[in-house]
Amino acid sequence: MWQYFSYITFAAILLWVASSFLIYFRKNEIVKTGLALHVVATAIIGAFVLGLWITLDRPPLRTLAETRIWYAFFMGLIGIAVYMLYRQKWMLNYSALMGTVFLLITFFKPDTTNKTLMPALQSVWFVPHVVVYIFAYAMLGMASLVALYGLLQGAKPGKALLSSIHNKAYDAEKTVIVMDRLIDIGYAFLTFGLLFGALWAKEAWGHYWTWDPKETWAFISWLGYLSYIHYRYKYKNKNARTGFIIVVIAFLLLLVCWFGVNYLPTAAMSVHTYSG
Amino acid sequence: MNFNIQLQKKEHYKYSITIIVGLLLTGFVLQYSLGAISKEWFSFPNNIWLGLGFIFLFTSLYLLFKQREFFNLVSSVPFALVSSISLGILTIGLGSINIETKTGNANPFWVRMGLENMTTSWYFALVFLMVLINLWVAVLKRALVFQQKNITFLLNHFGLWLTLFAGVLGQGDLTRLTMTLKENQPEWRATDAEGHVVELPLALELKKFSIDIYANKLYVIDKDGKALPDKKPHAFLLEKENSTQQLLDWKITLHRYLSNAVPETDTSFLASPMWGATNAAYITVEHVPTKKLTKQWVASGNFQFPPMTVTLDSNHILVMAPPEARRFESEVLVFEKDKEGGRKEIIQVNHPIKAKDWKIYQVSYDEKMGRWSNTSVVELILDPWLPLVYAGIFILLAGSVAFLFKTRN
Repeated sequence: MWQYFSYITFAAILLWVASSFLIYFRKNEIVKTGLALHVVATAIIGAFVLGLWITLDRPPLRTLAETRIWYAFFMGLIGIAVYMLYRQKWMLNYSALMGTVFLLITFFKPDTTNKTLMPALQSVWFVPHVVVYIFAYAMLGMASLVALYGLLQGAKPGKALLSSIHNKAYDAEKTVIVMDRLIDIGYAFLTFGLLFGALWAKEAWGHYWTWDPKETWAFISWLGYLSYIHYRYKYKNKNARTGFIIVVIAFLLLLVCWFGVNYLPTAAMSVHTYSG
Repeated sequence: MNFNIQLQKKEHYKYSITIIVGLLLTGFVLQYSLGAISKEWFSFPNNIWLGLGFIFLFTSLYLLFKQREFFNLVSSVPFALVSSISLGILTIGLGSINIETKTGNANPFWVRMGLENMTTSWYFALVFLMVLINLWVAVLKRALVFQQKNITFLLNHFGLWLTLFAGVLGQGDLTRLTMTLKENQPEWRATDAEGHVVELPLALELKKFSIDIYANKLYVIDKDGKALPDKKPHAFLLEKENSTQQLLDWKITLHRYLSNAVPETDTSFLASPMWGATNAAYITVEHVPTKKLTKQWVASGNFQFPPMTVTLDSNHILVMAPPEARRFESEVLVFEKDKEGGRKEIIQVNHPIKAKDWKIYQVSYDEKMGRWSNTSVVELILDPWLPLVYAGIFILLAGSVAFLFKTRN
């Protein structure tokens, strides 16, 4: 099956790129074609996963390359689902971009097909757990960029930092709305990731929560966004600055959870550090 | 008017912070004088009483005094923020501080203060309790004046409350035991973490232990045995015959890979299904700068056969690493006390089995014997509170889905 992978990669990326432009046209039919192309691109990857599954006679979940194909597939799928929910076109672009990244990594680094997965990682929970986290991180990362923009722009209200991208004057309220939407989606997916992780841990390690450093930090970063959501609920119309700051801090905590954990003194006790 | 609301919000913070700081200080004092909270408190039947007591106490207090400012405070957003941020800060400590208790170099004061096991400390418990009270009162407040728009709120807050509540109360009843199984010997004794032997109402008999392996990998190591390059060693996975890969200055071609090999002569191997067989490969090594070719066998070696390596130059050796497990499983017969005969089950990593109220996990095997181990180590886990925790988790999952839909508007 892997010999067809280059065709799959090119076809899917081509369709995604075409779709990314078509969805911005005025004409409704063209927009719909664009959406259809996004679905087809995702379906092609889905078909490849299915083909792998049949030819290998096992779920293709044993190498990192195999799991990456799943990520690409689910990125496409989540993109469509989130678009259906919120009707925000750029979310399709964002998910297509992430799917493309996963396809390209697999395409340019085929040697990673050699990477073997240890038995504990071979689980039906692996892909959903990782996929929802990747998506959550992507949303929350984007939200932090918006927050940083809000902070910088808020400090210099007279100067339009992004004037080259759009000609409108800075609007704090709109910036907060964009950020909030990203955070809501990101937070829901972060919750899915945390709970899927707990359910998987019960099957693999015997207990759903063991205060493993990665778990602990996942909980901390989850609390960070939880705090922001409560803050926002209480102070809807107050100055946006504090909100931006909370979001940036929450993302710093998320970064510690993502890779900082490996450098903490507690790393040695973690089941989440995979070497070799 | 507006000014009054503002003032009250500020007061909420003031009181919330005062309560949490007061409890933290109380917690530090209790921790220092009494030591960690005993697991007994969270074991049957104490945990049932604690749980019922919590629900009864705070529900009736709320119903009696819901007009009072205090209940307004403990169910308020400022209180939620202060208590969850405090919990977050304590958890940061938990996730960053690692006290070396094993080496005995740890400062006794920090050990006494529970820094190596913060989740059983008084201050952690008191802050956690505040989070539980905050969630419970907030849930009551919304549930008693039920409105459809509150469903998302209730799912999220009740789900989280139930997960945390049942998770904490069930801690003491969680039993984890280890059992070592030997082929064809029924075993009903297991040991806990302290090494106490426990007799169980069920027995396991290992019929067969088996390991599937990934093909071995070749590495170039230096004379100290370190795989090269230093940080990210390159490996050649011997999966496809006739494939070629370069490791540092040497180009290696795989001609033949034997997953079951025994020595034929001093320098060659033969495929054989014999017990205790090792892995071997016939390869060509080309030193790229000099084009010098070597053709020979390499073997990983095991408890029975020595490894075979290629000396590349004075500082480099080509070795075959022991195989990595793809899957390992125990085929067992499970006997339960009040049932006739045994039933056959397979225990795999990620696929525990159930027997009575226990879940049984594949953990380990005799690693020295590797594939030929006739010993299997399993873990038996009893967690009577799990259904409640799972109920909480699934309610919280539903809450997150509802949240996604709600935020659409």
